[in-house]
Amino acid sequence: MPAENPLPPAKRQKLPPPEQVTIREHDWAYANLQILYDPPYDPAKNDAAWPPDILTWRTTLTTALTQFLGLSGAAIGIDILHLDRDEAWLRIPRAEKQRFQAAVSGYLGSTDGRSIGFRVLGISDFLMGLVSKKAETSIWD
Amino acid sequence: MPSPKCFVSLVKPPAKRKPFVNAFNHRIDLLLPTDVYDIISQSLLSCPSLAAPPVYHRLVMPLGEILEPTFFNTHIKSGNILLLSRGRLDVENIICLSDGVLRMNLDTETYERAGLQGQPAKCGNGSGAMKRRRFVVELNLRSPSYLTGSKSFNRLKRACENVLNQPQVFLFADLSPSKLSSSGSGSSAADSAAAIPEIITKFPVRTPVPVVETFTDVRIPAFRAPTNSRPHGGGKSEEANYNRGIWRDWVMEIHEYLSLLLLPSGPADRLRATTSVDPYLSTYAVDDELESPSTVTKLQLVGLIPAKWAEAFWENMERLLESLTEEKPETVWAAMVIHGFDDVPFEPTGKQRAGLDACGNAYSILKLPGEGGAMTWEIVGGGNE
Repeated sequence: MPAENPLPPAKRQKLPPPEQVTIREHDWAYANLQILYDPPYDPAKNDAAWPPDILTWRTTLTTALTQFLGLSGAAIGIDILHLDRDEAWLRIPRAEKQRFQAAVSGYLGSTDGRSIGFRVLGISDFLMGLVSKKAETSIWD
Repeated sequence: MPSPKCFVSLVKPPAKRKPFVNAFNHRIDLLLPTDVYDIISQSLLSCPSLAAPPVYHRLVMPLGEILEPTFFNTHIKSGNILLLSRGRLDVENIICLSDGVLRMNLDTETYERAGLQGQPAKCGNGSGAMKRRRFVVELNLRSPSYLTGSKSFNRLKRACENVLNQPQVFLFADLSPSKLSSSGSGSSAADSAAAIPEIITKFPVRTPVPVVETFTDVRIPAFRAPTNSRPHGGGKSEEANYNRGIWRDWVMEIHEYLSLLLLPSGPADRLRATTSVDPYLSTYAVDDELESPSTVTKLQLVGLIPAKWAEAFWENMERLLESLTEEKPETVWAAMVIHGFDDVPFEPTGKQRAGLDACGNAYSILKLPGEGGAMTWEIVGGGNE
């Protein structure tokens, strides 16, 4: 806290430094996943199953996590922050980042005659970092 | 390996913020409440920074082009440029040039064949078989030992001819003061046209154009720190610990909120005031949310953006905000996020960056409402030097 100084300021008074904090290993990690179907859906056709809705995402993720990590996998708290076509932005507890990534990348399931898998487009402790990384590709074109 | 971290700083006047210095950035996003933006939009869009946006080029050339006499004399020996090659850090070879220093991050084979002076990279190397995977080369091309025809120059030239001879995609920006101030005016354009290297004229100049988007019906926080929370100090009691802890939580929540506004397809679904989901699907909530949803404006600029330009732009904007008198001070806030290239092997100071355990490269600054001051967030990947 800056001290009260009733005297006129000295010639070279030091300005109070900004308050700085280093934050690491905070609560959350963020993932940007893409759901892959084989054979893929054709967006032009108005298929009810495309784009996958939030419940489809949730159930497929639960299946993937249970398959690899059992009951404790299914219990990993996932917050679905945003869906956009075949991509999702998720928030998970940071401590589960590695296990989550392993379970999700290696998952191969099937529904309705199509195989399903996930591609991890990005995973980071900071959502801003994911946003930046994703945007980095467009400038090169 | 050390974990990724975020340096947060709270700057209350009269304290001064450390200037932003990251050399290679690809995008700037400015976020403001729409009613504030509407008042200042004319002045903002015609402010000195936006009147002279940072132009850049996308070049396709082998590295050796920078040693051609015109390029070398105009841009390397004098002048100031940014040059960055495309590639994934620690996977492909990356070349970058800023402040006259050429830095490369190369794989073992390229390094050994190039025969340039370098060292094993501090990041990206493991133990045993992985010990010497990546090498870094740092050459100060402005130093007197690099003159056309000198030994060092020739060594680099040989490396460029024999090893680094494939055309690559580079982003190039000319930062020299004369270029920045002329902004296409008649006589000075004619003078500088004589000294433009041929390779650059082959590729059209790209001028970033600000793109403005308005987001309606978004949930918005009050940008107020929780009562009694504080970054430091207060003692060792349980309560003091709690106060410091909730300040950190609040700070990370605000950072998360700003990133949710900036998702590629618009603000996140969870920020839309018109929808809600079952907690089973998402427990995300905007803390300390204002009662009524708000409208936020985003101004985006994509390009090779130099640090100094970004600083000047923020200052222009701060000055405009200070001149606002009609708006209630609690509702006036503004945020700017400068997205840096994550695939850059070096920081401006020369410190090495890691490709593995990278978490993105973004510098965010938020002007808090009222007398709150400003807060900055800088994320640094794990494994960085």
